[in-house]
Amino acid sequence: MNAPLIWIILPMLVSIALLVIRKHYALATLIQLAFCGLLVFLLLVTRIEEAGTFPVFAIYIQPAFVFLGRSFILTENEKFIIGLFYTILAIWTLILFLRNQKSKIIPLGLALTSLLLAAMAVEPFLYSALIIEMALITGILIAFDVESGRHKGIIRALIYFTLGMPFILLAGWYLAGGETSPVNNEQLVQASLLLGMGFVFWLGVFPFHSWIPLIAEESEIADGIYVLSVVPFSITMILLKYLNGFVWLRDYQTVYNALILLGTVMILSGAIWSVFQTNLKKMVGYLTIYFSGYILVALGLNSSQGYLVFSELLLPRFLSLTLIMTAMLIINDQYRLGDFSNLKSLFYRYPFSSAGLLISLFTLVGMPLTVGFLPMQSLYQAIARGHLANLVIMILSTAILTLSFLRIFMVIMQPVEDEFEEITQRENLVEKILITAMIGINLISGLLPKIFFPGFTQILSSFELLVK
Amino acid sequence: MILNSLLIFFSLAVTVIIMVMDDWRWTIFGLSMCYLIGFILIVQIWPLPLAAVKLISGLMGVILISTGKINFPEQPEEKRSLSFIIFLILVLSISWIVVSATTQKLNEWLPIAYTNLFIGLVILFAGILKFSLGRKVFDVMIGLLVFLSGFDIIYSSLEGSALVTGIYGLIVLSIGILGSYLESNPIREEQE
Repeated sequence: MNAPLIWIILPMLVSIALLVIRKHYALATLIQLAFCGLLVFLLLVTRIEEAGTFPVFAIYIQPAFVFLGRSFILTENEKFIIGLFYTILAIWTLILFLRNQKSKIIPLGLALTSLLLAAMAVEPFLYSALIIEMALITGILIAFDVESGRHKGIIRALIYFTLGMPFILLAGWYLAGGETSPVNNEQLVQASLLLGMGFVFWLGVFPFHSWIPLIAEESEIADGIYVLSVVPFSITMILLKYLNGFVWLRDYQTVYNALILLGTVMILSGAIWSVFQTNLKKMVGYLTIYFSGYILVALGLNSSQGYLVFSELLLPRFLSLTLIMTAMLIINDQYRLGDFSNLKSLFYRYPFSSAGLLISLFTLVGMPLTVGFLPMQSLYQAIARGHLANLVIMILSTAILTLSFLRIFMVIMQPVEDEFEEITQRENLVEKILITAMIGINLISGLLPKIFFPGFTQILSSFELLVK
Repeated sequence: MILNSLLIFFSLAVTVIIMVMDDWRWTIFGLSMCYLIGFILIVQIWPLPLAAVKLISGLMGVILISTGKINFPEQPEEKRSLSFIIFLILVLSISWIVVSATTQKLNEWLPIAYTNLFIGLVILFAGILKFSLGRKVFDVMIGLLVFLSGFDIIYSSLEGSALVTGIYGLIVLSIGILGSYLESNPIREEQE
């Protein structure tokens, strides 16, 4: 038995099997939920290494799986990343199950997760570009809304990812020699440019970002936000893997300067477009661009503090996107999310969802008491040491975004015009519990950062050469 | 030498067919020819079975994308004006000039046969033009497949691997399925 077989091949097979029984949607959802739980449980009770090194009893699993002459390798250090992917999928599946919401995440979420993990596990990892393309096509199948048939966003995503793939493959081929032998300066510049172009397409850096808000707008709420949560995250992981794997690249300061620059551009463009949005769904798309910018800036610092902040930023990102998705699913039952003016007095009918929506928005701008506060403050401190101009842009972007969130806050809290109108709360008990639990986790993580944040630093153990 | 010259001439003709022809059947024919040209070039470097996998997966992709057109009633298509056709040929010609001017220099950097690089780039650029100028899903998907087939000619000359061939085949098939799926799910009116 080996790790890729359990966490990559098996989920793919289960996903295909669930496609067959998808007509029994509740059953398929439960099976997916239980299967994700099982995969996470297996991570806790097994050790992915050659037998014999762990002092107490453990189930040992081989790390490598050879397929068509190439290896897929998942190591003990990558357990947290695997667990994170399946935990996110399990949480989303649970939310969809509790709300009895139809979504293509069941069963394609398993296939997408398994492909994203395969992209991270393949050796030599320059082939990851091809697997990411496959993963994106699966993501497109999830994000495509059959009801409306709108496909502008997914077509653009497919074009940008397909354009990015050759750059990454050529950069990988070019740098492959650099794993063992030195690369000259000219080669390094060319390879960095190729790699940079590839990741610019993949991460949706301005001006190649248009697919992100379009997917957020055109897709079903849960489907679109799920794809926008996991795909950029795995691309960031692959970027880290490239930096970790090629010694000449990771010692090249220009790469890190470029990351800070691109990150700042993403923060600024995401914030500006977000401020001018009246469509809540589309705004979430721009917010993912904005927050991805923070992640890139943290990586660009190339310091232990920067990498620490990078790992800590992932928690607010996933928590707020999950909370925003849940709140929007509940609100969408009665309100149309196409225009903020529709959300007038929302708080009086959906108090829990409104609170969840607002808290998740304020988490993304690092408001005190929320889970976003600590990592963003640490990032501001770190970036202030050598990149003052970037800091000013970041703070200004966050400030205008905060003002726009205050505007949403005022719309949602606006008193009901007809004071004699009978107001009934439209959330059921399950929804209230769900939102309260997520808000609770968000605030507890913000107030007591030592509970959840240290766990996320385990991500860095996969990149031991980069994070010294 | 004669074969190489013929292939180069043939690839230029195929890109004209892909870009200019109105009828989707001609476009599909052009795409199939791209895979055939790719096969002839790759089989000179790789074992026959691996090159054949690329050809077969490409042709399967062509069939899949065609099903979206065959299974649904044909919409009356806008007739292209003569000026637009001239524009397309001019744009295509510019791409050929760019490729001719840069291939020599690129060849120093990518150590592969000149013919492979030239044909790969010609097809790759035709693909970019196709999906950037096309308004319909079908045109975009064909453009992407043409782009990928052009890149594959270049990349296969650099790197030969069964895994890459397998995943590339899967990508082509997936794009074919996606194209057919989107083609059969037209945009409905906004319900809001």
